This record gives sequence, structure tokens and C-alpha cells, in this order.
Amino acid sequence: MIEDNDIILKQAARVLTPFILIYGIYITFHGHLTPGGGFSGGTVIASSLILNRISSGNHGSGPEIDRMMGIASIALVCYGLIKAMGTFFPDFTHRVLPRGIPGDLLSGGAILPLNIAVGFVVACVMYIFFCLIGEEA
Amino acid sequence: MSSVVHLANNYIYIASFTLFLIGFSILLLNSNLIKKIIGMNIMDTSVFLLFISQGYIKGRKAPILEGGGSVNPAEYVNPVPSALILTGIVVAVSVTAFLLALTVKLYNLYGTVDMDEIIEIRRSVDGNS
Amino acid sequence: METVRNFPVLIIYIFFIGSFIQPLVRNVRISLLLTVAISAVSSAASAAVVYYVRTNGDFLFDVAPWSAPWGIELSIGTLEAFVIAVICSVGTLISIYGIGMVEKEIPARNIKIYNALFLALLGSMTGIAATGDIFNMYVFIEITSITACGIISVKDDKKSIEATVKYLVYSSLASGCILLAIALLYGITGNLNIRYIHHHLTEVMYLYPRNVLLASCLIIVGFGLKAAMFPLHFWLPDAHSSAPTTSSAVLSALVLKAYSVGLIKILTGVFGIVVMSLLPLKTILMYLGSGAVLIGSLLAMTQSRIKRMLAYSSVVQMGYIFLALSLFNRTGFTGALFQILNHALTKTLLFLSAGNIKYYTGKESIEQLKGIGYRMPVTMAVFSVGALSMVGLPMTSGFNSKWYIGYGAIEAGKIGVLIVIVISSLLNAAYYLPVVVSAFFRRPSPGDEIQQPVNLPWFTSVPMIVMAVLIIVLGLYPDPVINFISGAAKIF
Repeated sequence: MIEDNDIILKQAARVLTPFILIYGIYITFHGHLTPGGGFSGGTVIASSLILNRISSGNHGSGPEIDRMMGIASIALVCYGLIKAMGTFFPDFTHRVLPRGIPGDLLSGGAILPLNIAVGFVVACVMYIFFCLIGEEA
Repeated sequence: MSSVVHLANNYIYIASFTLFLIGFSILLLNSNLIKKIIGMNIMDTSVFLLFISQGYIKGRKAPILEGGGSVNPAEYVNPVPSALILTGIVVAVSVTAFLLALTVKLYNLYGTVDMDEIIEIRRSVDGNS
Repeated sequence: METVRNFPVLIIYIFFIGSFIQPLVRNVRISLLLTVAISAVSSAASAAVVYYVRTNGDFLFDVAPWSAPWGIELSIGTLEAFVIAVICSVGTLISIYGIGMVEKEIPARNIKIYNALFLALLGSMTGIAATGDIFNMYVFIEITSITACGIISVKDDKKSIEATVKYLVYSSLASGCILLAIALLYGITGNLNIRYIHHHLTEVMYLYPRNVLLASCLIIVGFGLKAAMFPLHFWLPDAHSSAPTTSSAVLSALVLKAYSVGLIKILTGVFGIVVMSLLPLKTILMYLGSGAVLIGSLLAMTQSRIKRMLAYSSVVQMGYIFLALSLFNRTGFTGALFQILNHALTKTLLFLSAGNIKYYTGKESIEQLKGIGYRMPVTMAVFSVGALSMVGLPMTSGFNSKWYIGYGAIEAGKIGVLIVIVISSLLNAAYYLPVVVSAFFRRPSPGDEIQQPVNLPWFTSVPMIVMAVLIIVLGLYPDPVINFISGAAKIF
């Protein structure tokens, strides 16, 4: 899909990817303070992965998709377990997950771990969707 | 005169219902699958507009917390509808993704994205469904 | 005994966590067995919940550490415990049948995804029945429609993908209507919890009558489109007849019921008896239910393929439920709930035997079924039990549900409903009994001579035999179930 003389595209993607990733991680981690959270942060992280895939050509899709789906499943299981522990053992979760002062980064109880899990899931799913649908044939 | 004032006071309801009806009729009446998906998105967006606008209170600011200190809930807008609609947007995106995947599969099988043509092709191939 | 209060949330959690684990499983066998194991554990838990509700009454349960208007709570009463028990037990029986038959119809690379969608579907239907918060119910409704469309399209051939597109388009139309109704209700009451909305609505109803009217109409149209109420049933024959066998069984037996239970919960919980009497609900549901029953039967008689006939028959049986709800008295409501149980068992049985016939002999149309009773005796025996229950013969559970609905019609003074039920039983016999008669009493066509009877593996025949026995037992001794569910109609 990309010929070898598109070196400007490849170098530009290499420079931009860390910034996009940092932006996505910032949106995810500050989900309890600013608008955003797991869903929109995960989409931004997925856009950096898709940029990498477009600019460096496809390296085949079979095992990569399985690995991504495995990461998404593990993140979903963690999400389910945190919610279940919050229902059945509320004292345990109150001691482990930080309550903190409103306005700090480590505050808000279970919102931060859940946002991170959702960020993983959304990023993996958007990337898998692009691999399956956005390619030709 | 008072009915015009009444209508002008509820402009959010009017805009939201107009968009809902436009999206509803596109989803139902158009035969092209891509246009149906666009119509579904317009319909869902109109409902989100109505929901979020219920949370606005005049004269208060957006519910973004700065660092430290106590929180006075009387100076922020109601944040509950925005949080709910975040979930709703994700649901709408999931249904859109599913419909798009099915559209790609149908295009690979039949060569067209128009539902009427697909039904014609199926009827002429099968004979009796 | 107090730990039983945790069981409904536990059921929803293990269904969803089981569904998330499925993509990580290596082997197809292990993923099918995982489905059966999780459904079996949920059935045991739901039986414990039924016993608890029978001895202690309704209860509320806060999911998160925050209590009612700020957090989500579950409200489990007689209706909800009953429906959760039906969903989990019928789901277990279908997944046991699926151990043998899923690999025959679905491509091998899709089976893990099929099991993940199946478990998520059961979990979200339990969520619709259990929740006490209308936005939570909307989220579960969306999960149900996406997974229900998913289990039709895993089959990956032309007809199932077209049917899925049709179903998903109409389903998302209905979800938009339901979300608009929720937005209107939130706008006038400011709460999302069902009990709190009901409390505020009794004060606010006369200030905003048009909002309440519009919200109730949108709810009826939205849920009616999803639960195949009469004029809005046109997506159903394609969707249910081109799906794989276990998916058709789950869709016809459980998904339609979950949506109608959601409709009952919102109408009786949020709107209450005052608004329901002000709306012309009795007339609308009675006419639409009668239309479903009569016209659905006429359409079912013209079908030549057995799965499409069973799909139209689902429209008829859902029409019975809406007819029973339109009577607005206790006996009618009891009849509607018993019909939920009866149709879940019977329609599952019929679809599973039709799947057996299609796999072992390859025959799909009704005229080819001549003399097939000698080739597949067990399958046709249980099919006959199911067909007689649909017709409403005494000694089967179908007779009991029609009895209670008819008795409720007499109590409400609507003799027309009784006449419709009697005529529809005759029409049901007109399209079910020819299948049974031609299977046992006709000679097979000269192409296939009488061969050896097919030997079914135990995990294919045991669920069907269990369901047939349950139909007959519920026909002879319905009293334990009837005594339990007659406590559900508290508002009539």
C-alpha cells in the first residue's frame, strides 16, 4: 500500500506518534477531572496505532488481531472484576482504591482504574475494526 | 402572540424533534444502506441534544474541578446527563460499527449497497423465498 | 439467607465475565462447556432467588455503595424472579443442545464469538428483568439487540446477513424512540429511578400532560417493535428463520419475552395504574392482540417451510400475551406470565426438533416430512408434544395458559376475547396437526425408503425430552407455579 519512497510520511509518523499517545493517555487518566475518560482517550490512542499501520504498510493481520483481542478481553475481565469487588466487598475497595481530595489525580475511587481498562478496550477494538474493514479485500 | 413566545421559549424541544423526525424518515424510507446509517446517527444525536440540554442551569459554570479544596455543588451545571450521554454515544457508535461491517459484507456478496436492488437480485435468483 | 439478595447481581456479573473470557479460550469444546457451566450455575442461583422471593417478598438491592437516587438499584419482585428463572433455565437447556449442534451450522472460526454473544445475551436479558433504573434498562436493551443480531449473523451466509440488517435497522429505530421517551421523562421529573419517577409523576402529571402522553406512546411503539406486536412484526419471519437453530430458539423463546417484560415493568412501575387507565391501552392492546392472533395464524397456514411457520407462530403466541395484558385483571396477568413460561419451553422444543430434522435428513419443507416419524422417532415424538401444547390440548401447559386468559376475559366481561382464543386454537390446529399427521401416518415418498432410526447423542436428545416432560407436568400440576405468579399482579 505504501511504496518505499514515501519516506516523508514514515518519518512524520514516527515523530508524531509519541505526542498523540501522550495526549490520549492524558485524556484517559484525567477522566474524573476533565471531560473525556476512557472512551475518547481510547479513540485517540487507537488513532496513533492506525497512523503507524497506514504509514508502515500492513504486516499481515492474523496473529496480530488475536493478540489485540486477547488484550481487550483481559482488560474487560479486569473491568468486570473491579466492579464486582466494588459491589460485594465495598470496605476492601475503599481501602485499596484512593479516595483523595476532589481535584487531585489520585482521587475518585474506582473511576481511574475503570477509565484505564476502558481505554485499553476501546483502543484495541478500534484498531481491530480498522484492520478488518479499512483494508482492501 | 403568547403561542409564539411559548414556542420561542422551548426552542430546544423544537430543534430536537425536527432532527428526530428527519433522522427517523431517512432511516425508514431511504433504500441506500449508507444513508440509513447516517439517518440513524442523526436520530440518535437529536435525542442526545434533548437529554443534555435538560441539565443546563442558567448562570452556572461547567463542572470541571480544579485542584485542591472543597467543592460547592451550587456553582456547577448538572453533570449527570452528560455522563449518561457518554454511554449513549458509545452505544450509537457500536451499532454504527456493526451496521457498517454488515454493509461491507453485503457489498462483497451482492455488489450493491441498495436494499431494493438486493431484494430484486435475491428474488430473481431464488424464485420463491 | 441474606446472601441470596446478592444473587441477581452475581448472575449478571458471571454471565458478562464469562462472555469476556470466551475470546481467550483455546479450544472450541472448552468454550461450549464453559457456556453450559455458567448457565447451569446461573439457573441454580435463580432458583434460590425464586425461593427467597416466595418466602420473604420483594426486595431492593443497591449495586454500588451509593443508595437509590444517586446509584443504580435492582428491584426484584415476583415477576422479575420468575422471568430470570425462565431465562436461565431455558438458556441452560439450549446450551446443552448446542454442545452437539453448534459446530454443524456455524463456521469453526466463529464459534468462540458465538458463545461470547450467547452469554452476553442471557446476561443482558437478566439485566432488563432485574433493574430498577430506566437508563440502565436502556443500556441492557441495546446490549440485547446488538447480541441478538450478532447471533443471527455468525452463520455467515447471504440470507442471515440480510435478515440481520433488517432486524438491526428496525431495532435501532425502536431504541431511538425509547431513548426519546426516557429523555422526556427525565426532563419533567429529574430522576432516573423507577420508584422515584413514579412518585414525582403523580405530582407533575397534570402540569405536563403532553410530555407524559408522548413518552407513553413512544414507549409502546418502541417496545412493541422489538417484541413483535402485531403490525410491527414484519422483521420477525426473516430473522428467526434464517438464523442457526440454537439462535432461533433463543430469539423466539427468550428475547421477545425480555422486551415484553421490560414493557410491563415500565408501564406498571413508571406510569402506574392512573396513567394506564387514562390512556386507551385496553382498546389498543386488545385490537392489536386479536389482529396478531388471527392474522398471524392465517399467514402461518400459507408457509411451506417449517422454520418460517414456527416464526409466524411466535407472532401468534406473543399476541396472546398482549391480549392477556389488555384485560387489566389479576387472572389475565397470571395467564400472561404462564404463557411466557409455556411459550419459552414449547417454542424452544419446536425449533430444536426442526433443527434436528434439517441436520439429520436435510429436509426443510413441510411436504417432504412424510413418514419421517419412523426415521427420527424421538424428535417427532417431542415435536408432537410441542405441537399439541401450541394447539392447547388439555394435559399440556398450553391449555392452562389459554384457560387462564379465557377465564380473565370472562371476569373482565370481554366475551370477544374468548371467541378469538377459541377460533385461534382451531387455526393453530390447522397448521400444526398436518405436520404431526404426515410424519407418522403417511408413507414416505418413493425416493427415501424406511431406513434405520437415527441415533441421537445424549446431549441432543436429553434437553428436548426434559422440556417435553416439563410441558406435560406443567399441564397436569400447574398449581405451584400459578400460586407463585399470581402474587405478581399487585396493581390490578
